Amino acid sequence: MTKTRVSVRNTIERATAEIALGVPLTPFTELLIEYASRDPRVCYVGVDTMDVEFQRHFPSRAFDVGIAEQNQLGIATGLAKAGMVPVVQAWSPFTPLRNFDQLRTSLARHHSNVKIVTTALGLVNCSHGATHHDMESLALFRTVPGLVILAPFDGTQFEQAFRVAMDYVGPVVIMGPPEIYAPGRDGLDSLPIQNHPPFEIGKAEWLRHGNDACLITFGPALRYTWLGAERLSQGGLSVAVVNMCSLKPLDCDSILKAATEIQAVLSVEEQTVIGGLGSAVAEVIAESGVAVRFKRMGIPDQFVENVGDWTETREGIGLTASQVVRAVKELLA
Amino acid sequence: MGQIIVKKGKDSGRDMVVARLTERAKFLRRRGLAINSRTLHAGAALSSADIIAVLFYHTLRLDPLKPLWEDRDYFINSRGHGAEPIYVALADLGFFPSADLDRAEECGSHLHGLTSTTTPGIEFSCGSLGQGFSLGVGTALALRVLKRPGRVFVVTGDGECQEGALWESVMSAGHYKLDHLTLIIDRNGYQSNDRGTETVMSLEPLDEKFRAFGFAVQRLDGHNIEALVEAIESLPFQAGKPSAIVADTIKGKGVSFLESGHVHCGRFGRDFDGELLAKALQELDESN
Repeated sequence: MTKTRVSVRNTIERATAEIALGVPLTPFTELLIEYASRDPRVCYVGVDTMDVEFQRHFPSRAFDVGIAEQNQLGIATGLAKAGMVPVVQAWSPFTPLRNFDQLRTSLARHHSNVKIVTTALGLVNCSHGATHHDMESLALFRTVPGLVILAPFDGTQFEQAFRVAMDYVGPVVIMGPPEIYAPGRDGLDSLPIQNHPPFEIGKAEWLRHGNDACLITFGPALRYTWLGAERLSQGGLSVAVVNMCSLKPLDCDSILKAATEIQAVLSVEEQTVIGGLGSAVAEVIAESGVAVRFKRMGIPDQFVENVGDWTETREGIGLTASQVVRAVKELLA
Repeated sequence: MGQIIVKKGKDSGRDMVVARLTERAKFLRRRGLAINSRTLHAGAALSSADIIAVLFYHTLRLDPLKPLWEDRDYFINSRGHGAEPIYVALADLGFFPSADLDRAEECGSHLHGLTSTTTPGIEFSCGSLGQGFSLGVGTALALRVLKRPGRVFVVTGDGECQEGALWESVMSAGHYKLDHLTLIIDRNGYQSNDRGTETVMSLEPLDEKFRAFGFAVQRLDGHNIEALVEAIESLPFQAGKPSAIVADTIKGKGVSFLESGHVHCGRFGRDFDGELLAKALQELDESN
């Protein structure tokens, strides 16, 4: 399909918009305006998050329901019913926690053509404390029938995932990368990922290949997982890294390939170890009958109360590159 | 035979409409109760029958041959409960064969205990309370953006108004000035286990609450067909405001021993078999 770029992709218009706002447009806003420009059904539904640049372009299609997550998903379901394509912007700690019934019983039960983009996945909101930590969104999302769950790692992959989501007819959650929300706050350098392969629903991205250990991860955890893999590699181990950017449907083939061809599998996620990626990987391995050394790494079954920046908050619960290195060595011991 | 006797006077047309709707409401009660499904909520089915009769036989612009007609009105049964009169009306209007009613809740039937999209003519599957009006707000917003003529009618139970999510959606309907959106509250005064809403968690003054949220409100007798017709024909009550009709009703209306305050008020489901059902149907048959 030919994708035409319009509106703020135009350099002058984007520059004008950026000057007007005083901030650069996010990839999210750019994409939203592009799609709304060519499809009159595309609208925005925010939750005290109004995308003002989108609103400037499309005032009749820009809705902000205020701080009311339940109503947000109910309205999105109604909009979709009558033929609109709502793009919902939401905060990970509150969607799906505050509106899980609306998500399950209204939005997903009607297979609504709604795209939900969540931001602040994991512990990115460290300083706010546990109310703003998203520890379980994946565990909850996974149980919703017919819901596609994507987790692009960076801005480039977000654009890919967004386009795939818009082409798909049905409910999709994009667990947005922290770059959109908190660029650079992890204190880590950006990863040397130049080109992502074409994004496919149900396909993971193999970032490194190896045969000693396979690290399966997604979202913000990929950063320290990658650093851990680098250190292990420097220490002489051959380590694979899989970015599970499609969480539902899950790329079971990649998991089975790892379990059968690689000595050990470690899942790393910035979510509770209960019900998230690690649980999903464990389910696939257990039902396959393959015997492999396996461990889940993630937020332990506790609230995270230590104060600090993102890195310090994670250090308090053992979610760091060093702990990835340690876990792999223990698995292979 | 065949001659229609028309009363003289300027309201004679209205009288005929009211007479026909009264007859249809009786039909919805009688046939609805006879479904006697496991999930039957007789109290709500009977309290809402007049509202449903006016909506389906007088108000809603629907096409049974084209249920997804773009310019249709949207009806949302927010509580999901009280499905029976709606099912009867949909069958009667031709959305599906009336014979299907006898198989409600049987394996393979499209008729759930609560209204669901498996049934032709049902727009949304509902039943988790407090969500239906959000769906209505979203639908009304879409109709406005797409410049379609459809109106949106949502019926809720009164107990459902205890859900916080409902008030989120009520707030937004007022904010967006959705004057093609109407909420009708079946104010029968009772919720589970025959307990009054004002005992469980006070709702009153309900009409004033909706006014405070930006609605134009009418409060009326929900069994007075003429009052319902007049109110609905005057929609929107005020340009630029969503409308609310607080319809004061009697739970179990039409069956003496099911009505509010009586021993079997709110009774539903399997325990409503045999003699009781026969007695209820007999009362409905004998009523005027």
